[in-house]
Amino acid sequence: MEENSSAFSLILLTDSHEIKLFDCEDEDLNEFLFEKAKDFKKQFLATTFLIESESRTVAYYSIFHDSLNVEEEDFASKSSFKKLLKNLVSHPKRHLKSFPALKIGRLGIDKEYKNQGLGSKIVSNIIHEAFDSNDRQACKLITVDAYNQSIGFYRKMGFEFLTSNDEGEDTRQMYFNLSLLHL
Amino acid sequence: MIYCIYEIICLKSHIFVYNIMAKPIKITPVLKGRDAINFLNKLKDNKQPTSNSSIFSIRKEAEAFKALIKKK
Repeated sequence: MEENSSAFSLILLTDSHEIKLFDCEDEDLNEFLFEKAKDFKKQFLATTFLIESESRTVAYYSIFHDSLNVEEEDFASKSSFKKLLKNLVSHPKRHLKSFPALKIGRLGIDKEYKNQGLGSKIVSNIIHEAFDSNDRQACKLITVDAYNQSIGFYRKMGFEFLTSNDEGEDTRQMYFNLSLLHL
Repeated sequence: MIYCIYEIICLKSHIFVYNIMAKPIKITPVLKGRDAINFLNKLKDNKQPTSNSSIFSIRKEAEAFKALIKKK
């Protein structure tokens, strides 16, 4: 990859951009890039970035804002009346703590550039950019709905499972805590 | 009851948004019970099995990515 790397460009996908040849050998990821990505951009649902060589789309990723809501069971009500109410009502009001996040929606590497470490460079860059963006807008986590075959990759990068409820499914929900970059 | 209705509306709107695609991206779940406790404890103590070398590697890889991209 190093010898071709000088020709790479990082491009924000827009409606007028002509997408170059790309095949990551995954029908869904290919279809998203060619059929959906521009529409998602127009609708503000996901922003897609392309890494291009002179002749091909080397890789792409799409990202969007997300949030993780966590239910706090031991939420302490401020007044004694509310405490009493909480004990009397069988389904007390749940308190949700919300964490701002950035979700990696899609990440695809062209078959000619696989197994060359490009995926970890891209995800590392997403993590780093999100960390730096905290000067403008808060972002605590990177989230991803990872394909089973990519779980090892994300684990190696420090991502954790959000829940055990999705064990055995074709994808697993994972997160990376950006605060760790402060350490 | 009101909260349940709100959740159903949210769920339906998410299904509408994400079913446009062949393989939908699952929405990030609301963490409850043991999952919530584990998550909050990890955040509180900044506990995550991410070694210093992994963090160093992320920084290094991000720099390597920037070096790959030509300036326009």
